[in-house]
Amino acid sequence: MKGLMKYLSPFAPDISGAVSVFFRLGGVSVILDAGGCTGNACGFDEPRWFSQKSAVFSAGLRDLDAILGRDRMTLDKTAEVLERFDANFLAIIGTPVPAVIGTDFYGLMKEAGRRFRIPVAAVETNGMDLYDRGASRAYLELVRIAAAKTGRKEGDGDAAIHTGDGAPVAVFGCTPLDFAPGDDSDKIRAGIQKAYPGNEIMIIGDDFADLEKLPFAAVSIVTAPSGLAAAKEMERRWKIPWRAEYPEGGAICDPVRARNHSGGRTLIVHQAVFAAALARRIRKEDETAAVRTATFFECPPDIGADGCMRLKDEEDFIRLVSEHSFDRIYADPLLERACRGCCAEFIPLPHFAVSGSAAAQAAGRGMSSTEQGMSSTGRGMSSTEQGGSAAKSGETARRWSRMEER
Amino acid sequence: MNREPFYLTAADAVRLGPDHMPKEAVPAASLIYSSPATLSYNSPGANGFGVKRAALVMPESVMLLVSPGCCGRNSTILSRESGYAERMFYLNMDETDLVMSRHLRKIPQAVAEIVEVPEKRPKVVFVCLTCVDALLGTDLVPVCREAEKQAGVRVIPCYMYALTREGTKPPMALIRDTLYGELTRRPVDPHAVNLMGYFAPLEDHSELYPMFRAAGLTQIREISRCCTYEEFLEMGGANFNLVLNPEADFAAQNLLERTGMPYIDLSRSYSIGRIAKQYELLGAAIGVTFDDRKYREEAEERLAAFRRDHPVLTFALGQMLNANPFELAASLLLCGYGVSEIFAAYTRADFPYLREIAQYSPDTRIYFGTSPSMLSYQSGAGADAAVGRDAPWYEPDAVPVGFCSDIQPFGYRGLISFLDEMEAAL
Repeated sequence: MKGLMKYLSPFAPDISGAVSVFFRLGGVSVILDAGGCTGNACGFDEPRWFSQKSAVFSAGLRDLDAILGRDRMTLDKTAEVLERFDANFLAIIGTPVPAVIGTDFYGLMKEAGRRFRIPVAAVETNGMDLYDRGASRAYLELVRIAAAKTGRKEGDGDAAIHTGDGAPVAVFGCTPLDFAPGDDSDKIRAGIQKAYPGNEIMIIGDDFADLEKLPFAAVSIVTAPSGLAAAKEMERRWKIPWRAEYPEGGAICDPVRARNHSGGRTLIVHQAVFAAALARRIRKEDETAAVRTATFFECPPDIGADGCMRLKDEEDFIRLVSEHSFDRIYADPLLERACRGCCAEFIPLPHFAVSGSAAAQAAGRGMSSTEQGMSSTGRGMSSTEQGGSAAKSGETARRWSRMEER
Repeated sequence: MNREPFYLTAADAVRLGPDHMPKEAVPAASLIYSSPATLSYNSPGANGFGVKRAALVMPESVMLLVSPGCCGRNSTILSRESGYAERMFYLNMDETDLVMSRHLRKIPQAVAEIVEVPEKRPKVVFVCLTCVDALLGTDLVPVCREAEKQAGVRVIPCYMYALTREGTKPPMALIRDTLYGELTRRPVDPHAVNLMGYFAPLEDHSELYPMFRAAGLTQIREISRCCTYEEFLEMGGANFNLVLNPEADFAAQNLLERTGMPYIDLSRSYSIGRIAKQYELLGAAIGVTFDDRKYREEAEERLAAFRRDHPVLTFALGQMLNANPFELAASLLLCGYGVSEIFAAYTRADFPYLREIAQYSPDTRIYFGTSPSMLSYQSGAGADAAVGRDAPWYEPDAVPVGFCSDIQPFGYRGLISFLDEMEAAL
């Protein structure tokens, strides 16, 4: 049945994606909910919540606030907070509650902008979409704010990639929910820097001041589908070219190196850009390897993840693994439950947007990342991986024969 | 810009009185800050026993959460950690479902499918709705009735409406009512009593059990100790219900009105004098005399030994602990200890304790964990021990004392458990 999860549990929602993008930018984020959505986004989808402070708040809506559409009350509460903190911007983030009552986000954004005189981002998330859509909308808002801050007009710029002249490289799709296991924004930055040694690498979401430079970027790098819409918007507005690529690190190398992929079929399930990079890595080592990629998240055709299957729900995944005799499956450990009866070797490939803290723990155990080189669409990968965790990955990999055991 | 976190001293709180409580005491009056400390209690689906885990205390039950994906997200992590992952199922809604109420039509088939998944077929399925259906005004009862017909198991509607947290029936009160609402009156066993209020049992060594047995109450039932659904239904034959947590009052009152089962409130205390008084009042109410001398002496001896070993201590108390933090603070102050900070919102019911706190330690600071101003909180009050799951986040240099187990301490031996845990931590 569509939407029914019998073996899996919900993945990170769009709200969490939006929160993740704004987390380090020094703004005030207000989630229009009763408290539970905020608790989920901060407590379960934001690993940085426990080590860094960020002004993320719940609007604390109650039934009558929602029924009567008391938007002004939310702004009054927000005003009290903005009096306490110097905020770079205000982000208003949606949940199922405003989705039901039809909150006018555009109107709210305009009113908040007039009242508080700081940039306002309104992200119309609904809690029903997945994290990448929320992050995508949040990135788009940052591009819009960057345009307003700099005043750079649409149509300015050219389509050439100005590498090596110091122009910044903008990286979209780089949140803890997007990362390959063991990666973080510093490792991504280092990986991309190697490909663009003469350029400043801006991980969008790391520093609000970067928005001043955003319209003048040499190129946009999309490391996950969540960053694609913003990169395309940069292209539309300022002719800034983009490319989808995931910098190579241990996450790609370690689990792959430990195995012989010739003969047999391999399935990789993760976010599309990383899954494609991992697939290319395997094919590079063995041209005959049959590798297929799939994702529960967005998989736009122009992301460079050719043939990546979009899994709409648990049933799609179960059908995929039962109808194809995969010999090995790289996927988040949570997905193991849905593979009953499958005899493939399961290789944990944690994804925070899927299993949350369990992914982080798994990554910490056996997926330490080392950053080398760049894996990109149409380009090869560096093969100077470090060892260490491959053996552990091998240890944790298990043969599935649950049904037979039963 | 005011960067000081908001707090009141105990003296200020008493001076303002219950009719002029600060708005920080009401979470919805301001934006809500969900610091790592507050995550444990600032959501109806939070750590500990949120709505989902609480419902699954019912033996032989599973749950179908019908909601947008975001509502079930924390269960991805919590259900695995708390061991109920295989009893949780999800029917995720999309926008079309929301507009057309299509999700409701899927529920009977979904229930029929999920009961076939566990190795042992469940006897009860909870269908849980969230805020969106509260706003849509969904009537889940006929849907559950239809699901019951199709699946051949008991299907119970339940609700995780965070929007109603400060209403007359907040989610955690409502889920208790949902659970005990299953009971029907059975032939009354005069020797039977139900302990209501917690989702986990009292400590095995609690004096309540032997004291009750000595008084002729030989059949003591708790939902969390029931192994089967049938065993749970036998709670309908109790002579009376003993409510140990005020959040169960609503359920107990409904049981009284619906089935005639009477109930008595007994609150948890960590003051020997208050504990003794409670037992005396309880005995008077049910016409027996509890002989609590042995247990009282045990507690007095343990407390004396603890005070000998640790004559001077200052505590910071959180909100997520097996105690009312204000009662615990008052009890600690009565023992001669210091309480520098309490990180909890108080209610009208806490004023008797607040007055005691103000009398012995007027400068004790009361912080409100969900206040946005807590983003600016800096530790440094110099407490020796931070008690509660949330308190160590505020006072990382203090010795952390969780005192937050699922198994519930109570009475004299609850005090001994607290002191033992303190001792081990110190």
